[in-house]
Amino acid sequence: MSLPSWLIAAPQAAPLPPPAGRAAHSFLARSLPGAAEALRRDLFSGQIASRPGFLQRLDPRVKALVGLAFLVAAGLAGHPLTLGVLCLAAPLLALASRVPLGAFAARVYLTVPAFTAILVAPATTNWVRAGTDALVIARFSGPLHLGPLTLPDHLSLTTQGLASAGTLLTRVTASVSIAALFILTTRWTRALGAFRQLRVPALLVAVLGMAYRYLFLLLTTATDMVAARRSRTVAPTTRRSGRREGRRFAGLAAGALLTKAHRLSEDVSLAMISRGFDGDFRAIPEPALRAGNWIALVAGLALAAGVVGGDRLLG
Amino acid sequence: MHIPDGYLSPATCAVAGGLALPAVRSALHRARKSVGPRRVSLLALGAAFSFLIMMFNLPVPGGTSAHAVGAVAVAIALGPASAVVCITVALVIQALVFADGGILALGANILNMAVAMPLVGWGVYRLIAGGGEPSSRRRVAAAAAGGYAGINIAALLTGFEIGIQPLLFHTASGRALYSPYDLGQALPAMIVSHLTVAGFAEAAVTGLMIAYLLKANPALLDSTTPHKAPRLAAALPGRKLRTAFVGLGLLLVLTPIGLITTATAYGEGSAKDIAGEIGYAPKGIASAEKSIPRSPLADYALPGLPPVAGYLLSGALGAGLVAAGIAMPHWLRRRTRGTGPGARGDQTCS
Repeated sequence: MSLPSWLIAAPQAAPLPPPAGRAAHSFLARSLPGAAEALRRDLFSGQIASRPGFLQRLDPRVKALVGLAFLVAAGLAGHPLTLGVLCLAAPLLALASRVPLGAFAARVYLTVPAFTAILVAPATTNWVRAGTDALVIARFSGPLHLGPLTLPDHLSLTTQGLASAGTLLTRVTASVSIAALFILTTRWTRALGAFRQLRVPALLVAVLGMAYRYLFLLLTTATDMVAARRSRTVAPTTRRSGRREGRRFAGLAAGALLTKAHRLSEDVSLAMISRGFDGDFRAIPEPALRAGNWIALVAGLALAAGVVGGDRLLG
Repeated sequence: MHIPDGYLSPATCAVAGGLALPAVRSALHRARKSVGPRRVSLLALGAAFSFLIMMFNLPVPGGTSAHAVGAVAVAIALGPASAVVCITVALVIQALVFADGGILALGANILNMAVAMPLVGWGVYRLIAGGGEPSSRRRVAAAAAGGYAGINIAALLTGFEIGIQPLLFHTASGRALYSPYDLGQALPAMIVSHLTVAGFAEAAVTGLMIAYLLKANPALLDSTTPHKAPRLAAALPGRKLRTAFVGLGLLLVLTPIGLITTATAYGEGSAKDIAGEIGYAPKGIASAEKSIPRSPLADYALPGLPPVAGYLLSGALGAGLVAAGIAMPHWLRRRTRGTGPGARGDQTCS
């Protein structure tokens, strides 16, 4: 006797029918893939952190302190040349640390600098920031009156506006690059250990570590909640009612998620106490800094100070 | 709302960090003292929850989207000190791992979203929810109002921090060294968008979350039920004085608006101002100016500080003196009666 083929075949999960029209792109459905992508990127950065590269060999405490010094240097520098050098040095350091340039570029250039470029664009015009005309875009017969606003009789890009935008863009790019180099080349657990050694309060570090771990679990729970709702949505909604319902669902789902998080925290705390947790935080002590790391620390801090000093000399 | 690195000067970041740090330390201390071992997991899950809430973009009219912060909802559910810790941790993870908000600017972001927002929102919630046993509807409305007020105060602070940059930090040629938008541009941009759009999104999320918790998990809110934990109401002076403090606080946060205008207030100009207006300075005013000793904070300026910083510090100092003047008799009366309230503790739920 043989079983029928339909019974032998592995069951296949029926895919959810794609909702019709714009409902297919509901805001939660858009947000969650973004979160999943962030998760994937984070896992990928864990692989990069374990590669044998220049920055990976440095102690996380040294990287944290030198990184902070360079962030301050990038904040204090004002000359375009200084900021430009910092922007160019970052990808070279990424290459030396075996960080794929694609991953580095995606993490640095496509995020905050791209957003900043859009945000700062209006400030390059004389309508937003008065200054010397660098390029006249349009001339009008007279000043424009828009309600209480009176705009100049021409629209132009100003020297001051362009210089301000360039300064902000390079400064933002340099800062984001420094932060990216640290996190891409440092395992999260080692970064937390470094923070603890650098006298960040133990409770804060413990909460930071646990929150990071449970972030992924809560994200999965949220994804499941959205999928469950989609699987129960049978009637297509109009664009307007869909938005209203979407907002309502987001608020109520957030309440449900908080309840789930609270219950989970109870379970976790019971498990922690059962394993002997008494409220005191004990971290595995990081080994003392070796000579090479001391040299890297002093050299890094001196270089950051040199960047600021050089910038002052440039004026 | 998350300020990236590069938009604020290191000096601004240091001042904001200096203001945020004691608040976070105090919140950590209270959180640790209040529950003990169980607190860690609750704070961690609260932080992870806050992080996720900030990832969800809500559709708003006009085709754009805004994200909620959820700080006030967390403050109502877990207590204000816990909310400060949770949102701080969420912001640290966002800045370090996801480059959402700067690392140097972390102090400013914590001050805006992890300290001011939950505390102001929670205060508004408690004021509206009252000290009795309010109905669920009133608590939901109070939560929504708290969310609206909280995100708007955070937006106001963000706009102020960004807006003072070109006033304080620029080159002689007019090149802005940090954010190029001044107070007259940054403040309206932040305030209007949050008063009209993002504020309502935050209010909706906060209100709906509390509505859900009241229905599905009222135990979670029990510890913050006003009639069970009326410590804020007890600690504050009477209703009239409370209203005065709220009004004073509102005026204080609106102080930077005075920087937008450069004109002299009518009837308050110096002899020089009057000479500029009408061509000469009346003798009486000129001689009076010479004979009357000058105030140490004349023209709302502090010696050695830039005019803008001096103006803001003068405002804060004046408001602090007024607040102290209002509170001192009340405090002395309570002290002599021996009925002063004890230290305010965190409202906890575990």
